[in-house]
Amino acid sequence: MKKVNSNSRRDFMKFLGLGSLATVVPTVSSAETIPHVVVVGGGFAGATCAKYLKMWGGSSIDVTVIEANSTYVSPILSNLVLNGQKTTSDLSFTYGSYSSKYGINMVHSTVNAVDKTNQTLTLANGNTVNYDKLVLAPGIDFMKTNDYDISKVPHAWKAGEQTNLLKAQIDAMNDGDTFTMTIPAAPYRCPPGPYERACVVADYLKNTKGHTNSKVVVLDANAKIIVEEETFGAKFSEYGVEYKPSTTVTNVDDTSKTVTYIEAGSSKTLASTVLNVIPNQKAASVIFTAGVNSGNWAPINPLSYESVLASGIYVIGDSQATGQPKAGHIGNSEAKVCADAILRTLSGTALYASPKTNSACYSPTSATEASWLTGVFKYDADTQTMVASNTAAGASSTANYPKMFNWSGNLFADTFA
Amino acid sequence: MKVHNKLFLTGYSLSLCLALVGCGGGSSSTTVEDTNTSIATILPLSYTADAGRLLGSQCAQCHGTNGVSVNSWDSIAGENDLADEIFDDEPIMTAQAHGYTAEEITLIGNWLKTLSKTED
Repeated sequence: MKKVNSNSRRDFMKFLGLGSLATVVPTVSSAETIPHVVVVGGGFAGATCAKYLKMWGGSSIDVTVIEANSTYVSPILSNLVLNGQKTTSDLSFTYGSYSSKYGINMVHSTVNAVDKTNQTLTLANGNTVNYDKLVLAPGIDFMKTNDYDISKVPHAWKAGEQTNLLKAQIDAMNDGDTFTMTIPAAPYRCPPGPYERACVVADYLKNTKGHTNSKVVVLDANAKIIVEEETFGAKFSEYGVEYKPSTTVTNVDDTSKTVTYIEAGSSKTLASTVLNVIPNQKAASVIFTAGVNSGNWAPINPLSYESVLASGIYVIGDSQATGQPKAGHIGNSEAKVCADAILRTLSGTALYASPKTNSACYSPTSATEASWLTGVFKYDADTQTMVASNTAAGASSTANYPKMFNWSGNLFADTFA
Repeated sequence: MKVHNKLFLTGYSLSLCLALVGCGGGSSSTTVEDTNTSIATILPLSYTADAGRLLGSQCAQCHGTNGVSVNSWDSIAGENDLADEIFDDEPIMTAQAHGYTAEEITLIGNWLKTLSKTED
């Protein structure tokens, strides 16, 4: 049941712009209500989950999304901002029509505390929100090697201001300057993304800017290109990308623009005109606040995405600990299984015993070409895990480039519209 | 004090009405005092689980919510011959199709047939 204390109710009305006009506290003593599901995070996983909860649950369920930002900038396609094919405003989504279309309560704040006993969240805006079921879809946080200024050494791995910062730095490069990026150890958000970025930037510098003397260096924490190895390997050769696998970043200096790393047992320091360090990643902080992590990620039951550590709390998207990739498309996919599972549970229906999810993505490799990668994941009852039942990849081609926007267009609409 | 959802929504709707009345009538503020409410119980949720819909919702990432595409990729709402189409399509579609059993494809196909066709 949704229990809102009188202060937070008034605050909510103020939020709606009604507080100064009328304060109404209803006088009722009957005792029936409808379940309240609170979704923390309005990205691909969270926004999809809230939408499908309302689409399938209708007026028999109340759904609130708690999201820090009033505008979401999609990381998907954001590498195309770097080469000028898209802008961050092209990739921006707001929640106004989305929330009114589906009847979702939007609250723009963050969670300070999770009281699992009383099923209450305390928000940074001071309000308290009660939940019957809690869905956490907060994405990722970074594990930086040391304290440095990300406005000087951007990660650009959460899209928006960071993406534009990196673009400005790339555009300020002169011929002969070096662009160095680091790839985090798996698992991290969007497995093809860093390789895609190296290709897009190398193509942009060489073929658009005419910087034939510039160099792109990639320091990969992984032992090899972890997805689409053939595609990205061939593009690295074509562009002359200097690729160094099995490198561990140990220090980043934002003043000298240097990165120190270990390669084959020895420490090396590399200076670069532009330094794009994508740090190692872990579940976002609310996962730790809620105490539903085991190590860096949140273990869940793949039939429902309910935490194995706390009943009534569900984790979807990049923070969850299944072997499924961490990415927007499959976050959307997981969200539907979770929404159905919550509705089944609230109505006393058994969980669907053999859910499937899928992952698909198109990766730009230049301003005119893209490749693709896809997979279906099925529930394996013996191991109680999601396993890849079919994966495939498509080589980089100009034919794939426009298809990339069909894919992203429907994915964006299925999530935010 | 705990107020459950139905009350919350009622209060919200009521406040909207009063706010409008308040403006029209020149009154700047209206306050209704609180009284005690009892602890609420959750109403049983009305939900009809549908395996075909759950599986078929996984098509929406590429083909649109409820099978209605927003661009030139195929809308699949009202699709009548799903099994034939998905195995003889773009490689990315065929790769996906091989990840599903014949029974699952039948479930998805039966659900898609219930959706309004938006284009031929």
